[in-house]
Amino acid sequence: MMNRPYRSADRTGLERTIAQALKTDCPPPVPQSEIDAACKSATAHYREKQRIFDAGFWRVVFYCRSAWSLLFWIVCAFLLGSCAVMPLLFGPDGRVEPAGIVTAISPVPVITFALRELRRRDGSLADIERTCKYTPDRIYFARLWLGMLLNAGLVAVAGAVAFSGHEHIARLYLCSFSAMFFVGAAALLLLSLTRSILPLSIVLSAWVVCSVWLMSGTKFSDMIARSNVPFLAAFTLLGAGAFAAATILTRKKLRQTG
Amino acid sequence: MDERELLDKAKQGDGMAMEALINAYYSRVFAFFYKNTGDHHQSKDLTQETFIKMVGGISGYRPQKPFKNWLFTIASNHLKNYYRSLSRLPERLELTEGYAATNPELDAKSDIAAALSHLPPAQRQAVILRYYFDFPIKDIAKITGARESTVKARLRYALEKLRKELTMYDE
Amino acid sequence: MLSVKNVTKRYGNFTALENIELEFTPGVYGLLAPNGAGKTTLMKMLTTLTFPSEGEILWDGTEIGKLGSLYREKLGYLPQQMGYYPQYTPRQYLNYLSALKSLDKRTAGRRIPELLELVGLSDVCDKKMKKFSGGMIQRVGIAQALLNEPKLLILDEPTSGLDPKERGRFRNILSGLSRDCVVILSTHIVSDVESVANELIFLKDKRVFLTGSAQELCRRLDGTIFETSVPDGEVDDFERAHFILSRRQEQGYVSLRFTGGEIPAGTRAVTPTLEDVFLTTYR
Repeated sequence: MMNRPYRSADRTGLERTIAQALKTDCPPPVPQSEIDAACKSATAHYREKQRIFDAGFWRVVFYCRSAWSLLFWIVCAFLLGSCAVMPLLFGPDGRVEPAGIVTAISPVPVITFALRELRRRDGSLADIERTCKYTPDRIYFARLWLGMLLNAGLVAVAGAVAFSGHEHIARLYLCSFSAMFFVGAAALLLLSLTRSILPLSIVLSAWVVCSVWLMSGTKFSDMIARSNVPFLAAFTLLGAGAFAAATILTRKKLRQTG
Repeated sequence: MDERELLDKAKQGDGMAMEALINAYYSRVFAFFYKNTGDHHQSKDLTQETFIKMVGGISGYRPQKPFKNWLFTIASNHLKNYYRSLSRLPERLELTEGYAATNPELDAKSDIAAALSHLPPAQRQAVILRYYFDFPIKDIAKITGARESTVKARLRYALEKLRKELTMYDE
Repeated sequence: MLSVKNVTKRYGNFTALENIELEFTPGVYGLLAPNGAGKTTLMKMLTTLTFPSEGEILWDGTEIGKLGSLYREKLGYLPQQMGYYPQYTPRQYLNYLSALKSLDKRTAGRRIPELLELVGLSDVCDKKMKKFSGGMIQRVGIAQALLNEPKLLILDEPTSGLDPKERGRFRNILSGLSRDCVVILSTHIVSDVESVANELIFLKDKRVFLTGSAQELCRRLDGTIFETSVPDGEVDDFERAHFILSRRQEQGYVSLRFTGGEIPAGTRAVTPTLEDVFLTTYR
C-alpha cells in the first residue's frame, strides 16, 4: 500500500456513513472553566518538573539543620590528615601503615554525618515536615550523597599524603573507597532499619578490630600487593551500588515514617 | 502565533504557550476518550492525565513528528493503561470487552455509539482514529504501536461488525 | 475542591475507616468523633501521610498522590502531637519550616512576625521553646500551619492543651481566615467548633454518620431533648430509665437534661444543642 495522502473520496459508502455518523454524534461539551482548570493543573505540574535545580530545595539541603558546619568537616579533615601524617613521623619502621589507617578511618566522616543527620530528628516534627513542599526523604537523600562526596574528597586528599611512595597507589585508593562505600552502606542500613544504636556500634567495633589487625605489621601491604586492580575497581563499584541502595532504602523509610 | 512557535516556547518553559496548546487540543483529546469509553467523568480524568503527561514529556517531543500524532500517542497509551487497570478489578472485567452491559449512560447513546461499544477496544480505537479524526493508517499504526497490517485488519473486522449492527446499504 | 471518594483504610485485618464519601468547599468543617474513631486516620490521608487502601482523594479533580508537592504547597497541617526542636525559638522554628515550605526570604520575613502577632507570641518570639507551656507550643503550631497561606488547613485536635482564653483566641483566628480556604478541624470538644464551623461531620462505626450545619443537626433532635428536676433520692431510678445528657446538682435535687424513655409530667422540651447531638450519637 502506497503512503499517499489520505483522501476522503477513496472511502467506500460504508466508511463515509460511519465517518458521518461519528462526526455528527458530538461528545458532550466541557465548560471552558473546566478546560482552564485542566490547563492550570497541567502547567503547574510542568513548572514543578522543570525546577530540578530548585534553589529553594538546595537552600534547605545546605542550610537548614544540617551538619554542614565547617567545624565538623574541618575536624574530619584533621582526623584523616593526622592519621595519614602521624605514622610517617615514626619513620619507615613504624608499626602502623599510614595507608592502612586512612583506609580504616575512611568511612568515619560519612557515618558520623549520617548519624547526626538521621538521629537528630524529632518523630512528631517529622509529620509536619512530611507535609511540606520539600520533604525529609528528598532532603536527606541529597545530604547523604553530598556527605559521601565530601568524604571521598577528604580521603582523596589524605590518601595523597598517606599513599605517597607506595607502589600500588591505585589499589590503595580503590581499597579505601570500597571501605568507605561498604561500611557507609552497612551503617546507613542499620540506621534505617533499627532505632537502636547497638547494631551499628557492633558493626563499627568489628570494623575497628578488623582494621587494627589488618594494619599491624605488613599484612595490609601484602594484601594490597596481591590484589588485582580490575577486581578492586569492580568491588568499589559494587560498594557504590550498595551505598546507593542503602540511601534509597533510607529515603523510602523516611517517606513512610519520617 | 502558530503551533510551531507555541511548541518552541512551551519547550523552553513558557507556561502561557503550554496553556494555549492544551486549550487548543483539549476537546479533541476529550472526544478521543469519550468515544472510546463512553464515560463523561472518566474521559475528563483521562484527558487531564494525558495533558499532565504531555507537559511532563514536552522536552522529549521532536518537531519532526506532528504534534497531534505525538499527543495522540500519549492518549492512546494512557487509554491502554486505563483498560489494563480495569482488567485488574475482576468485577469490572466485562468493561474491557465492550461496555454495553454495565454503562448506565448507554441508553441515551446514539446508534453509532452503541454499535462502537460492542467492538473490542482495539478495533474501536482504530475506527475512532480513522473515521472521526481522519488519521491515515500509517499514523494510526504509530499511535497505537501496532503494525499497519494489524490496523487494517482491525478496521476490516470493525467495519464488518458495524455494518451488521447498523442499518446500512451496501457500497 | 477537595473530594474524598469512597475511601477505605485498612491496617492488616483491621478496618479503620470504610466508604468515606465527603466533599469540601471553602469554609470551616468540624470533624467530630470520640477518640479512636478514625479522625486522625482521615486527617493523615488528607495530608498524604498515609494512603487509602481503597478509593481516592482528589484536589480539583486530581488525585493528591499524583499532585505530590503541588498539593503539599497548598497545605497547612497541625498534627495531634505537635513536634518541635526544643532549642529553637519560635522565630527560628518558623524560619526552618518556611524554608521547607519553599517560602522565599522576603515573604517569610513578612509572614513570621504577622503570625507570631496573630497567635500572641510576639513577646516571646526569641525565647527557646523548651521553656514554653503546652498552650504556647500549640500556638506556634497554629502559626506554622498558616505560614504558606494554605488553601487547605488540616488541624488535628488543635485546641488540646489550650485554656479557655486561648480557645477563644483560636476561634477568632479561624473565623478570620481567608474566604477561599478549606479548614478541617477534628476535635472531640463540641464547643470548639459549634460557633465557627459551617458544617459538621460525625464519624461513627468507621463511617460518616451525620453531616450538616449545627442548626440542621440540632433540628433533627427537636422535641426529643428535655429538662427536669428530680429529687436526690430518685436520680438513680431516673437515670436507669432515660439517657442522661447532663446533670446539675442543686439544693436537694438534681437538674437533669435527658432524652429517651417515658417523658414524665412537668418536664419541658428544650432546644437541642450540638452537645446533645454528640452525646446521643455516641451513647
